[in-house]
Amino acid sequence: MAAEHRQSVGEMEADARMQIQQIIEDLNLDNLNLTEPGNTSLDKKIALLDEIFTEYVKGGDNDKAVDVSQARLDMIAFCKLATINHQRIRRVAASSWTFRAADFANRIVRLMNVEESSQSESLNETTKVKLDNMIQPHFNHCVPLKPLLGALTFTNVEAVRKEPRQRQPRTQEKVVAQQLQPKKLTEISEEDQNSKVAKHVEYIMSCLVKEFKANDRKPISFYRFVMDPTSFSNSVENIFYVSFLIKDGFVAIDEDGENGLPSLSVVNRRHRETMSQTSVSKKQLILSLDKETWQAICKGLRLTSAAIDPKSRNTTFHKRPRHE
Amino acid sequence: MSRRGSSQKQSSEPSQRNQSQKANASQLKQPAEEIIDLDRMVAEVIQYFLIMEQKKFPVKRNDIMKLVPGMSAKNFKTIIAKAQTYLDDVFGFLLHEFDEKSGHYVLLNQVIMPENLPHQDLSENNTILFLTLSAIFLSEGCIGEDEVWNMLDILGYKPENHKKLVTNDFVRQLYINIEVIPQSDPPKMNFTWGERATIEFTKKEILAFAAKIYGQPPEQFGALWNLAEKEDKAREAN
Repeated sequence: MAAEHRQSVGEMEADARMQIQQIIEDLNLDNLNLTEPGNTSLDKKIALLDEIFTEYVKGGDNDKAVDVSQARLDMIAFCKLATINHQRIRRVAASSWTFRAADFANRIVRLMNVEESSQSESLNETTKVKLDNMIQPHFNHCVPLKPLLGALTFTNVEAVRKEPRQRQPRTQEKVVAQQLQPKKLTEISEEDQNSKVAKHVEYIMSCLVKEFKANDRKPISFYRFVMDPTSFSNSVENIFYVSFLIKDGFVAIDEDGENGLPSLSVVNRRHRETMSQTSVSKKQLILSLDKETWQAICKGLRLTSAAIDPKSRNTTFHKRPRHE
Repeated sequence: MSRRGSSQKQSSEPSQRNQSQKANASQLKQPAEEIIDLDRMVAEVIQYFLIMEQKKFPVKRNDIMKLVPGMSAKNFKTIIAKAQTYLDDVFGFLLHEFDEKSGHYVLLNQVIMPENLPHQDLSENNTILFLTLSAIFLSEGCIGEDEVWNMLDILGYKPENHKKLVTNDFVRQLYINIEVIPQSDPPKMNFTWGERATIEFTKKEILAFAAKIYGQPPEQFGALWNLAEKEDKAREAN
């Protein structure tokens, strides 16, 4: 009986040692995964070790001491568990990060002021512009539409009262139809001069004259002048305004002898007055422009900036000519 | 008798011929008129979209139906599809309809500016919007209004000057959503990302900006980096 009891205890000890050995091998193999903060396998291993020890103690005598080799394996397993837990705690500390809006703002202020070598506690106008420049690349807003003829306004427009027109009595003589011509820019009244379209056309003309003079009075490439590589709508508007100038004889359009592309040249005032309307309007350019063609032209001509600066339209300052 | 009959027949034949000719002419006229009307309506819808996009306000379906005469539920889809094609081909804008709030449309610019060219859209409002969205995301999707006002105050943007911009304009533009905290006295609000912000900005670019501010790589933002990666994969899958 005692022998049988001793044999069963021995078997139990062997089983317990094997299980602990297995746990140690598992810990060695699965070390990396067990250090993951969300992994609960480690807790299960600890519970299993407890269970083995409890069963071993229950199964033997009350005063029985734990076998030395089993105790040694138990210690090795617990050391391993402690090391892995320690690594796990480190990973948890590295992954936790709390956001504080005030701290975020202070860091931005420090970063912007570092380059300015200032110790201000807030952003000034210069550093605000710097922050705007830093953030701007994240925005890719649609370019705003500028209605060419001002068709839509959000402000109230006061209705202008029309003066009653007095009708003249009919004459019996035959009225010969006069040859009508489109309204020329030279005959624009003061009211029309103040209109936006006229202002833009004047501005475009001044830009063209500057470019023409800077180019030694030689014809300027049409595409180089009207294309704005930063805005498709601006390019279309520029073509529209230049067409007015060509129609009224202020600017002549011609074909460049070298590559067959259209070119613009300013017409001399005396020359304009002496030439007849029909001889001026013989040359014309018909073009269709879509987004892809616009991009291809800008890329082919390697345009980096517009010859006509849209922001300066409302000011008296004009952009420097590109032909220098 | 036969002559009368024949004369009667002859007189009825031209009238029948006239009627059929008139019917053909009217049939020919109707499709042409309908085509012209459709083009006019498409042009008006496009112009409305472009004007509303200046203020960045989303366009509602009901507004389009009221504004454009002749627009009905039958031809609405056709007109919107045509407008979408023109906006893409001519302006490079994508017409996007929100799924959650059906009937809300916005324009997204598909033309990406080259890096060497200067940006024309430099504005303080964009900066405030981006900082607010960053604060919301870095606070794991929800932030109280007091934290936002404090942050803007430290940066030099006085809350009293910009409160309306954040709580009214950005909300109307669908960049930010507002949730009133229940049983709060005085009433307080929480801010979350709006639908438009989800389309126009990515979590990764917010983290890239935060990485510059905090001086650490984006991967060290833990759960936020995981969220950003998930969103990236979802976008690629779509």
